[in-house]
Amino acid sequence: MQKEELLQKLSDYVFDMEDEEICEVTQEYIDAGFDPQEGILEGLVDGMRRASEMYEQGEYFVPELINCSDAMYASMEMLQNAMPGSQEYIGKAVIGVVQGDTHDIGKNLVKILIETAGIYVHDLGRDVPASDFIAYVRDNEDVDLVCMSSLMTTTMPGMEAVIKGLEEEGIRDRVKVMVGGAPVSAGFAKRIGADLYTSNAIEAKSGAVSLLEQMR
Amino acid sequence: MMNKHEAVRAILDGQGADRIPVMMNIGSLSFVRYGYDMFEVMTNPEKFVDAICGTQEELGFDGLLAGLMVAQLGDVAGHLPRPDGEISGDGQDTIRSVEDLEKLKPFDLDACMNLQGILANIALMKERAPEEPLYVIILPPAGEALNAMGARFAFKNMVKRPELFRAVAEYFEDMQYQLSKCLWEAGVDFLWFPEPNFGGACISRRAYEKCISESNIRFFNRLRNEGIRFVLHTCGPYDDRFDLVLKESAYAWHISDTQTKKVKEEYGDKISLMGNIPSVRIMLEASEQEVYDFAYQECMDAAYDGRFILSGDCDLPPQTPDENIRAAVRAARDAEKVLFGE
Repeated sequence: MQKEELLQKLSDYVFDMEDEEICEVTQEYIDAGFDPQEGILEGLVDGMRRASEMYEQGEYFVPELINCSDAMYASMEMLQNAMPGSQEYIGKAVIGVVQGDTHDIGKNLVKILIETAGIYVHDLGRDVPASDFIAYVRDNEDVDLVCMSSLMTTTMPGMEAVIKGLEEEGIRDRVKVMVGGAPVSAGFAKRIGADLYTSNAIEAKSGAVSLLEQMR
Repeated sequence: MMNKHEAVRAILDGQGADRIPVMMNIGSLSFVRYGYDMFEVMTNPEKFVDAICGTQEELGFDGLLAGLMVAQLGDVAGHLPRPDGEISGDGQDTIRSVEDLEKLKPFDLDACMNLQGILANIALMKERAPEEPLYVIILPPAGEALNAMGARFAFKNMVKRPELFRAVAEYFEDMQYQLSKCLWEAGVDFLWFPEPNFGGACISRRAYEKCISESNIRFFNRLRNEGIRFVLHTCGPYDDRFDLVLKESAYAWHISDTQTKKVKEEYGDKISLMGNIPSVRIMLEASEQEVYDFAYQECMDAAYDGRFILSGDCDLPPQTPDENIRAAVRAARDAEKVLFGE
């Protein structure tokens, strides 16, 4: 197959949630000697972009995006292993669900989508104490973004604790803080001193890129 | 005027009450207010009741949360490992196949510490506040299935292997039924079933129909047949699937992320409603007057036929100002006078 054809198949298999078939076509792409980075950007990320559009239109939901991302990651791992050098990123984020909350689906979607924007993401997981966010930022000077989510009204205050902790450590100005989650609002984000609230994962991706551009 | 138990019963039975109960989900708010952590209240009925009843007495709303039935999955699956190999303890994220269901321990009502704690709460609350309606939060079987499979794996398989999700939900049906029956027989006024993961923020209408509907219809029909009253909390956007939820034979819907007036107009003749003051945007962030105005309008939109319980659309955040909660109560009392007379 020609390169364009293989790239289209990579994109289609992500979009169609085919996490097994995509490995075969990825291997074919690698064996043909085509550029792995191009395979990621023009194939996988393109497929995820199409899936995101379907999500925005209310055609795809969380289950569909998870299956798309599984297909994307299955292929991405193979392509990354085939890369001669290390991948370049446009920024670095740390992400997690705040303490007391174990709902991490939204956080995982945001992680997937901002990774597709070329941002390196360190995932602290779910039920993350404020001190872990703060320690990670303190110990990693290259972190640009702190992304926090909460699905419960009762755990939202954990986000404020992180921001206060960053201020107390004198490192708040080093990073931009993004918050999200079903009960979170723009008003709440403003009140706790976050830089950005986004209502869904698609907005989070474009918002993260905008914040990085502001920082440059 | 009906007493509070009679009013709740009349509302759930679709007959209409002559008052508007104000029932706020204030679990975390109460525990924080009384300085208790979750472990303390879940293991000490006196502290649980102290916090819930004390908050209710101070703020003047109606009804009492008698417990959160959340730990039964740990009883049957806590010994199983998660995918990373660690023993789960809480049973979440442990079921990957139908074969895994055979590894579960049999559920034993008498050995369920969570249940025994709630039964103790109920007994204490009946003594301290006999006039207040009681309810317990408990997941439907599909909610237990989602926890047992882990959200990511469960969501994935709603597309790839819906039959697996349905099988897991069916497995947990008996456990949830036994618990529901036991709680009902202990004297709660209703059970409150939340469905936060099955609305339009997470899954499609098609996935709801394919994976959730059948289980809910079967399970809730069993409760109906026993005369067990329950409220279904459609947590998240459900506008595109209320017609499906209607088939699940709930006594009332506790709605969120929608317009009460619209739902009332479309479904009000078929189902009683509970809700729908935004817990963050209004209850937490708005002024006392704004809360009053919003709550009053909710009552006027939905309580004219006596089939409405005023509530937040979700748990109230712990920092919700007292005056805002009191404003919601005041709004309901004022609306009652207009709708039902002094």
